[in-house]
Amino acid sequence: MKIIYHCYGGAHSSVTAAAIHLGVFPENRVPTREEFLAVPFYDCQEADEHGHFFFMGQDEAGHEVFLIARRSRPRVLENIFAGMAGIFSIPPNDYCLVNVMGKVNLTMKLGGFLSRRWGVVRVGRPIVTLGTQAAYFQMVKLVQRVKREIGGYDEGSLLQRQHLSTGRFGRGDPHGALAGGGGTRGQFPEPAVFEYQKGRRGKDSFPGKG
Amino acid sequence: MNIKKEDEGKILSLGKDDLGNDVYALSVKGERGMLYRLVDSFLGMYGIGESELNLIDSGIRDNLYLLAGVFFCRLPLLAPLGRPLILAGLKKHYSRLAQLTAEVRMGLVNLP
Repeated sequence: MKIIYHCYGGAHSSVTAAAIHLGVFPENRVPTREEFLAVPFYDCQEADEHGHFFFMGQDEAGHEVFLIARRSRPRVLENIFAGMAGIFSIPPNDYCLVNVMGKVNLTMKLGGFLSRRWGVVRVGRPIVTLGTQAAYFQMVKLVQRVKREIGGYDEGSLLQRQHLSTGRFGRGDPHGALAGGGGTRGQFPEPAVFEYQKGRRGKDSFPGKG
Repeated sequence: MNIKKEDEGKILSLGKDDLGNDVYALSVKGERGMLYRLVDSFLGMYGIGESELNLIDSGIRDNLYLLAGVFFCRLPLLAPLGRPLILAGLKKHYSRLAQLTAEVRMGLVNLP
């Protein structure tokens, strides 16, 4: 199954929800600013990439997790996706579109606007990160609800007591067709392991750098 | 055709052409670039060949007749006035649309 998290710009809330889903972020505490910035795609999607499905990884139940920016047109995304799925005989239970915009607070909107729209990253990024931290547990609840509704997760994995593979990330390989991505941004040298701790990632893996 | 606001982005099936191709119509206000990326990305995600779907931009912009016709059609009392205006607006674009469809059909015939 393909689980697709979508929001306005595909840079903050959908990335956070997808990261929670994949076990990159813990569910019992709010990640630090550094942890947010270490996640691929966080605060880095540009306007000319909106509408593109980005592959985030595969979860422990084998579902593929994607994210997409659909601006202020969730209905368009849902209708086009359903229409295309109908044309190519893809069953409705093969995909799940999750709107994360309901969990976005004003701080996130302001920070995201400054960082992504105006390009004032130095000011906008700390604000949007603060907003994401404030809305974090709501996103955790959303992801837990999605997992409950989809099924296929045992309780241990839901509560994230086990080591979870983060799957593959890659901007250059958004559909997961190539192992390891191919893009220079957002690659993890090794699978991240979480025990309610920050994963080992170098500063270079931050997508916004370089 | 009565398309409501919540139907925006719905893909409408119009039938098959004489070559056996399925023909669909899709309307999205603005956001053309996003639509192309969405469709391309969808095909890539499911491993569907790009030749399976041909997305053609009609390139038609609303003229004054169409705009007025659409506006009047929204008001139940003025709808009878709106329809002829829409027809007049479409007639203005008809030759361009006919040429476009002819080119598309030629392109499909010439495909290897």
